[in-house]
Amino acid sequence: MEKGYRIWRRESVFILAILDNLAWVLVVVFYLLFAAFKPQAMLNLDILLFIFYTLTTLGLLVLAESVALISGNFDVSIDRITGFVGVLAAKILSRFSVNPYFGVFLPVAFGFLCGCLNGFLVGSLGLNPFISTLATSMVFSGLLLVTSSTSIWNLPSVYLYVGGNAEAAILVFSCILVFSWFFLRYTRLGRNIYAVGGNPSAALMLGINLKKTLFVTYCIVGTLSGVAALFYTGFCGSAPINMATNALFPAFAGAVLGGISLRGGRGSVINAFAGGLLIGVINAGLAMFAISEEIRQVTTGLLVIGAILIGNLREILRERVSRAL
Amino acid sequence: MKERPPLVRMEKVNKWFGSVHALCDVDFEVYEGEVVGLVGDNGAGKSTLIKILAGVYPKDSGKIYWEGREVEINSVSDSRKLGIEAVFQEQALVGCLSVGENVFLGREPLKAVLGMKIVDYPQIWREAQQAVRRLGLDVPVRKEVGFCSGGQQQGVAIARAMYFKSKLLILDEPERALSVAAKRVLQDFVRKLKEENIACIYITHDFHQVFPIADRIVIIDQGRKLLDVPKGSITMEELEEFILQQSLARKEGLLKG
Repeated sequence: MEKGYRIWRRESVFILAILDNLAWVLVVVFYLLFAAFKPQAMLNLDILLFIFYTLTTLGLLVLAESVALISGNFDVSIDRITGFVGVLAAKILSRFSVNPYFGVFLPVAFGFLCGCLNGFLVGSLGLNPFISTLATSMVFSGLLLVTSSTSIWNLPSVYLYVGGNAEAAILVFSCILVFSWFFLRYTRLGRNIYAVGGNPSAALMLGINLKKTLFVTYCIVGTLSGVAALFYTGFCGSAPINMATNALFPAFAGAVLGGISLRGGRGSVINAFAGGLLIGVINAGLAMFAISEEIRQVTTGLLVIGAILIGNLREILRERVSRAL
Repeated sequence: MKERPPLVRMEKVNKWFGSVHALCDVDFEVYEGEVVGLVGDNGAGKSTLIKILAGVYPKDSGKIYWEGREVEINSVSDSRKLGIEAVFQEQALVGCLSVGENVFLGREPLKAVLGMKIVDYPQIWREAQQAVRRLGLDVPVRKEVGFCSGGQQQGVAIARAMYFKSKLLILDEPERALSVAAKRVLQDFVRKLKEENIACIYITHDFHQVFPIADRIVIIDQGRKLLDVPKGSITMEELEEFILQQSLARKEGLLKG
């Protein structure tokens, strides 16, 4: 019985390790699958770079949602923050003579302020994060329509450069991804975010300031959403009125597929990016086969369900392994 | 032992939770290197008493003296600065982090790299390994705490308290949910604390567990201290009889309404 338990435990730990890094495995599997059917289209460095480039916008939102989930909370307003601050910054740039180099920081700053609002509600006031960010999501949607009822064009090329240039977008995104990983792994505040997500009462008993940690978490999430707005605008060459609409679920799916636990306190943002990459590869592959947008939406929904199921399987397996010890 | 001042002394401490008078004019003291067994039933006030010392709750009235001087303990941080560490029933461990990360949680050692202060993981692994080995615990420091046994988790929480050179360690029902073998290991942990001259308040329902290792037994019931005696002055049977009499007296009081 003892030997059987040990073998079972070893196998479960192995399966758990696979599930935690599943996104990378699936990226390769799906990429090769699509490449098998369309080798000329998929087995092409330019296509690979293009897929990576198109993913930088979603990747930033995956990163934002990952940080929220690691802290043990949701933020369902990230796409609306991106839409609102993107349009707001574009409106200011088009209406006033603002230095475009300074203008690059506008969506980032506005995103930070939106994050501050969420941080105040969830961190300082202790309100339910799902309901609070759902409410602020509606606020940001409304503010977007107040700001503008049409897409905004004729933006300065400097402002559009980061999101509009593939090499710049990939470089800046990679730097942000690595910095985020470094921050969460190697700073006390980053470790506090994991602790608060993993066991908030333990974190409190150890003297970690819960309110401050959650406030900072939502500021980070808002800032990343603001950066996503800059990328979206550059990518589109304009600030579309429907910027980042429906991006929440793919961002959420990417984070969970990439191993970010819905219970909080667990996951790496590098793996979360793999989750986003997986969604991008699948979408690119489906586009190659001229699959309609509606079917791709169904696929995204199924991916979200799949992500939650895989996340649950991880938690069940983890509990079984820990109980066996 | 009684000639030198106590390490910590609580004087006429009161605590209310709404209309519930959880602690009523409680006097309590612990001497350096002493193990005090704090015994009482559910709702007696034991956890409230130690949570005031640990900075989780503020007291409503009374005084606390640390090494002879009056102090205010308004937060966990205040308590830690004095050298008080607590291992609560809930253990205050984050299951998804490693043993090493849990030992240093909230107090990670930092090193300067390129002008930035970053968490020093090599120091964490090295010193956490030493801390758990001091307790005779054989657990890899990179192992997730959630994958450790109940006894190992208890050991990690105690190793954390010992590492930070606390002068007073509070153990809140540490034997709960432990196997018989793990309870013996726990008793060894507490003996090692005495060897290091660390005072210990050991809270428990089960005085059989703490009696062999305690220097003094304190009984609390309904927010009041009923008994405070050195172990040598009372046998386990006399203690059992006292607790039984108190329980009967309480039931009679309830019956009389």
